[in-house]
Amino acid sequence: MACTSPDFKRWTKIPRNSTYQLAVVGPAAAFAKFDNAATSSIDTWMDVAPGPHMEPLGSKGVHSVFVFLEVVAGGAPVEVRATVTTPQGKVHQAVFCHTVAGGPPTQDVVQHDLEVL
Amino acid sequence: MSRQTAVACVVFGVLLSPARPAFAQTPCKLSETVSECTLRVRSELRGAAVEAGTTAADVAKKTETGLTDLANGLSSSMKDFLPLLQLAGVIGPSSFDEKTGVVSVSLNKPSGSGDVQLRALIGTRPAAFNPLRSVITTEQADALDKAIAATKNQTDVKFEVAYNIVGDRVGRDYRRFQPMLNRLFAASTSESADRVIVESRPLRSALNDLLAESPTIDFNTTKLSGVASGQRREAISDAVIALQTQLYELTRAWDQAAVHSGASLFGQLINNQPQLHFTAGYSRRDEWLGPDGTWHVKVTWEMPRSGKNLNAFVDYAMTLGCDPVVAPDACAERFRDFVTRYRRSIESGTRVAVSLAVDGRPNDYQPTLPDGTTPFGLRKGTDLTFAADLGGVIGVNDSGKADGRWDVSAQYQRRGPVKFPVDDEEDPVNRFLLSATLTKKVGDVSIPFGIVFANHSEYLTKAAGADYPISVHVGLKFNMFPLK
Repeated sequence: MACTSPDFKRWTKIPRNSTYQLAVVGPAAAFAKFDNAATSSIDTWMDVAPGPHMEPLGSKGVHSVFVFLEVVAGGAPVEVRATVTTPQGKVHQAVFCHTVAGGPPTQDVVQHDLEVL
Repeated sequence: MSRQTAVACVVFGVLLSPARPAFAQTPCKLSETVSECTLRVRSELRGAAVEAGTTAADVAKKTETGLTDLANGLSSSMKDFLPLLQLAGVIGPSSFDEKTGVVSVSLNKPSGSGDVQLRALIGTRPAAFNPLRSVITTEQADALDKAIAATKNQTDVKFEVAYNIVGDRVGRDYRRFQPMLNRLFAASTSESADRVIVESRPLRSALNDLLAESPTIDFNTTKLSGVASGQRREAISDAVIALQTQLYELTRAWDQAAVHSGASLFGQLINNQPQLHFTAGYSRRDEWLGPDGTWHVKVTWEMPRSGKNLNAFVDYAMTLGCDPVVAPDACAERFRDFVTRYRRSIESGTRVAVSLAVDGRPNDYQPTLPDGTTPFGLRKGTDLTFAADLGGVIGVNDSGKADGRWDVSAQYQRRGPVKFPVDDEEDPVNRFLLSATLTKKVGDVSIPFGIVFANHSEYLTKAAGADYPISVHVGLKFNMFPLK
């Protein structure tokens, strides 16, 4: 699969109780912040690298996920992969895969908006 | 106050903020969806930053020495144990060497206590064993070449297995330290990350509210030309630009926090961990291609000369009262202190490696040439080689690029008597080699200058070693087909 997504994506019309899955694969320091639109709380996910982190999307609203990462070393590129899976087990809209170039350490912030019905 | 007016207030509040960058963004186009407009504005903001002469560090966000550069510059003996984080996956790359015709197939097998790499080197262009070829006449060599070419399915295979010991204090398996790194990183930059979320929330909500008021607008598929109200189109455009401009500023601030955290040096600390590496090989070859059933075992120990690695950080933090293994969050400040204080030593990449290798020939080797003669023989026996390598980079600038590197290597080899048939007067060979190489980078070109000393001139190349046991070489190395 080509890993050419830009650093922003919004999933629209996500059925309630779908699952969002996020993984940062490669030599990077990473964590993610989840801005829950229903509660206005911010959760920190420490398990996205190597992941995957699974998050049930149980409440309506446009939630945001910000992935903060730094490629620390190594020459290998890092991939940020995310999918939304419906309660029926189908992948909702396109799979997200964003590449951060390897080599010199690089910072990146990836934003996902999750528009849950 | 209507919702649209409230949204406009939020947007204008941000647009008029003094913190806003001076990059005027093109409004969303009628041919764009909100998603396309968002991505374009994000892209333009970065491009504007480049044009505005933002420093390379801000744009490319390069902060430290790239380990790729470092690894490429290592002497060949050190390339044997490049860090495991270079591994692409379980199945390693298969490669074909155009020059030698050797196909390499590798398999990387991560396991609990270490990592195993298996490799098969398959010769596809059989050629006569060099020492044999060097003692026969030209006519014999021609006949041998023809005979080899005429023989199908010749065996020339070398199997190799390599094993790295991986533990808390030894080995360079990046995955093992990932949780520690994630926590150190988050502890240093989480506050700044929270600002990205909290301060962008009003604008994100404003844009979401605008879109919610028009349920027919799909963020990813509806072109703005499909939005009936011009006023609404303008409001959406303003909201997108204001939000992305603000996010750009906030994430730049986070970038600075990330750079300040020193996390970028974590990979180098792992790279500097001591490494104990075992390799073993076994060869099967047909008669004219070389001795059959030979084996090779090598043990290598490598570590940074400065000792500034992850072990050193853990010890440093423990001395100051925090345990990065158990509670890395509490050690973020200690980590920052450590990498700031020892940055040059960490980046220098000066390594020391010692190795011991044993090569064995379990059987006598005396091939019969096509003319029926046996002009060459090699007795069964074992060779012992001890090597010490020291290497490092020079002239590392603030952006982490090195001007070159240096390598010094000493090698001692003891080889038993090899003449066949047995000559009782033949003594074992004690071969000592000392080499030093300085590689200077000029742009994309590397110029290596090396000097080699041997205890006997015949241990050097024929051309250089006839009279003096010293050879000097100067080279030129560049990549004709660089990756774009």
